[in-house]
Amino acid sequence: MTNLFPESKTGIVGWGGYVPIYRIKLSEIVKMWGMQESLPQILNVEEKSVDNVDEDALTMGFEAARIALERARVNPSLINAVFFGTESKPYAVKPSATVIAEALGITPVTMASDLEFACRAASEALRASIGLVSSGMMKYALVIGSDTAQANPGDVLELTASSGAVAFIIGPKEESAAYFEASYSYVTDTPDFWRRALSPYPLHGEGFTGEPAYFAHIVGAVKGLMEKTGLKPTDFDYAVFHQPNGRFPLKVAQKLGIPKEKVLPGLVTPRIGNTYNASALLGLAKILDQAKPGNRILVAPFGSGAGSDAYSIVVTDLVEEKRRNGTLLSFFIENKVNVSYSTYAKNRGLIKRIDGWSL
Amino acid sequence: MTSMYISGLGLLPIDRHYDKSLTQLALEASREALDSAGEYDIDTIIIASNYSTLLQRQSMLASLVAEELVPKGLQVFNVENGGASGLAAVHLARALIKSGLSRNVLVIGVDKQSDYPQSIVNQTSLTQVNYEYHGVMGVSLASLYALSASLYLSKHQLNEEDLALWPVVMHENAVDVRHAQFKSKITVQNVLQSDYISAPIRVLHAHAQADGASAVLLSSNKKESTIATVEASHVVSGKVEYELNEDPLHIEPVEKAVKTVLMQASLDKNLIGLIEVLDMYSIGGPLLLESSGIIPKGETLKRLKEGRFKLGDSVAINLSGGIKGRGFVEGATGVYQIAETAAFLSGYRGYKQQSTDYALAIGVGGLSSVAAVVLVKRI
Amino acid sequence: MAKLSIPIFWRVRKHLYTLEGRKCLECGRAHFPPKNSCPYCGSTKLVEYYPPKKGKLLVWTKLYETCDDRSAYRPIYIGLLQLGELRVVLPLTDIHDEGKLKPGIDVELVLRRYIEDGDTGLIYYGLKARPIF
Ligand SMILES: [Zn+2]
Repeated sequence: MTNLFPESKTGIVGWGGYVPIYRIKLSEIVKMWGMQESLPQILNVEEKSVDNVDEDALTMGFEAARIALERARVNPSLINAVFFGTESKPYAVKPSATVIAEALGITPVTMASDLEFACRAASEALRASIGLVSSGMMKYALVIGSDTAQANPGDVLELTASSGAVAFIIGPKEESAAYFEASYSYVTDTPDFWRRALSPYPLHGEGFTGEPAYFAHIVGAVKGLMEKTGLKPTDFDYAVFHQPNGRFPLKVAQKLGIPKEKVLPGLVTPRIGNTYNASALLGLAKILDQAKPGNRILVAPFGSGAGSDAYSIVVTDLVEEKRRNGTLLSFFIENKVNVSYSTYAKNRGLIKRIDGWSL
Repeated sequence: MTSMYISGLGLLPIDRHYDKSLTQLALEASREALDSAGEYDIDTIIIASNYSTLLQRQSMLASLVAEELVPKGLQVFNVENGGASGLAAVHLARALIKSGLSRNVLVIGVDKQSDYPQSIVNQTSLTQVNYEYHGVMGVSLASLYALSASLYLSKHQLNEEDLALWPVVMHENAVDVRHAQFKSKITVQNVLQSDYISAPIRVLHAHAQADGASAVLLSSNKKESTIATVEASHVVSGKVEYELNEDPLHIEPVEKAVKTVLMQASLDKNLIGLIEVLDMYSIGGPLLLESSGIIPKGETLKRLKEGRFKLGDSVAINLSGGIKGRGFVEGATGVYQIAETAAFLSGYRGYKQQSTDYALAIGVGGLSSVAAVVLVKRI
Repeated sequence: MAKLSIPIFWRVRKHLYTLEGRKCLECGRAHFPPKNSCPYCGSTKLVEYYPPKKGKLLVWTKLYETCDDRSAYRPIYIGLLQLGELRVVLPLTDIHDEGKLKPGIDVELVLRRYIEDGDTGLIYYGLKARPIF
């Protein structure tokens, strides 16, 4: 395939993933709420990450972005867009992107905004950034996906909703560890999962989140990409899909005719849970931590509501050097401390407290 | 080069005075000082208070007290210099008297914590660090003293038991001090079994919430009632931020202030037989004493263990019981310190007496923000 | 109800996000928090100094005595750190094995919440130090 698409002028000049240190075993949650004991096995998730009490989507996003910047080795002031994809914004109104931009020295000449599309906002930001960079409007853009995902305590969603962040600096192909060959978006109005404005937790359509939502949209996006590019499943060395649990990505791969050996290297959910906006993109970060120059990666994030984007990404010679310049995602995945449900509840703000004395 | 005469003392019991307002406490201490002095025409009131504006939300406290004490009007000032407020107020009184602008100055120290729960009192201590930085981080004064305690113990190869001796001795000293907050003895075991507030600082290293007021009448002329004289005094600023100290175990402004005071009085440090030192979180005692140059580095706790520094020793330290026994009343503490040195030098109204001619009161604001030192002489 | 001042912390936000201090061109020493004149020699010839993101722990404590606003963070670990040429006092975070928290260990800076102004006010962010065990 020749470089026919505008995407191919751009690539990933830096990437970083971050997962908080704490984990709770799904068996602990199952026991807490009297759920079916086989659920963790069915979901193929053993434990999920838990943010510390002083962490939130913003602080985790900063940490991932800083690693991406260390790999990119670009002057922060040359980054002219900061997109923060999340569904767990610390503020309902007030951008997190500006705080991260300020803390990284990117301000003031930059675009900055928080995007929301369930788990897919960061992927939307990725496509928008490809457009901004390939058009020549700017040289670099920073894309962050970060969530401290909420779930109604006792709901099956609580078993997987976890915390993590990922960041990419998009820039010229020549400076990239991997470049974009092509991308494709597929979006419909499919209400599989939502959270009303002032509700603390989301609701979902259970089985309805599967076929008409997750599977239909990812398959739509990936098939669209393949039609657009002429690429076949066998052209890809790795495939990364949105990972709401450890089972769906393997099932969608099967539907697309992709062997599970190409999916497993980027499957992080069984160890850390579903990090929402960071989910599939953390999988991509993990692949970049291990891929070889010339490898082609299929990435397809998904967000409820619903939509999916498919990307074809080709690894370049720069990947190895850049990999060495930042902390590997596997460090954060391996470096863990298990906590009880009570610590998890405290850290996640599930315990209702009132304001104490204050001057 | 004399001098300024201490001619009246007021030392209210340190306690939780739930039934008395800040102003009431100040007035009671003032009346006690003035009664003991006889009839004097005071022309100046200086009030030392750290938290009247923050806790009682009252500024211009000196005017409020003057309204009732000297309704015709007089010179009034409010002084805030952290834990060194009271001694700094004495220094200012001396300046006014030396300049001739004042003849009889009533210095009042007052603070009151029991109007709020402990969590608020903890919050006030964040004003004694650089609030914009360490305040928002929650780095309180207790934690900084704790860092110094760790550094001190490891540098001098001492352990927590050695440090625990300080509050034990302080409680012993306070047993016969009638205004002291705690007149009961404690053991090293009690200290070591108390909870940490900031390791290695434990609950029994720290002051309890307290209310109190102390007042001293300072005059340009000797009176019949004169108890002692103030021979010298000084105030020196240091570093508010812990990390800016060259050596966190050396409180430079204390060294400078003590040196200046001794120079003012042309006095050999060995002639000082009594010291009232602001011993915040226990470790403040050794830190200040060793920074003053009076006790060699690393020696304070060792000598304490040998039974030194008690009544009758060549130098007695904190016969009041310090912040632990007598209690810590924030900005008022320095005024208590001055009143105590005068009382212990003279055996005033049944207080125990240390036989020496010179006493030093040493205080700091924060950990190293400001030092104030006053030299008091027996009459 | 929000109680904290917005401008007070807005003015120093970059210093809290980056620990930007100052370095003296006369005596060569760096300091934090940044001053308009050198705390060591008084010179006003100062330039910005950004510490490296990794450094060493010099001494630490564990603070229990906090105000209600911070009770969810209690106990607060606090350390004196050496970061390049800067010595700073900072809160420590992600402490799960106190036995390994020894003077001399490596630490790295991370952005975390310092304090929340009640349920409705601003969230104040800044750097803390995370031990590298
Ligand atoms: Zn200098």
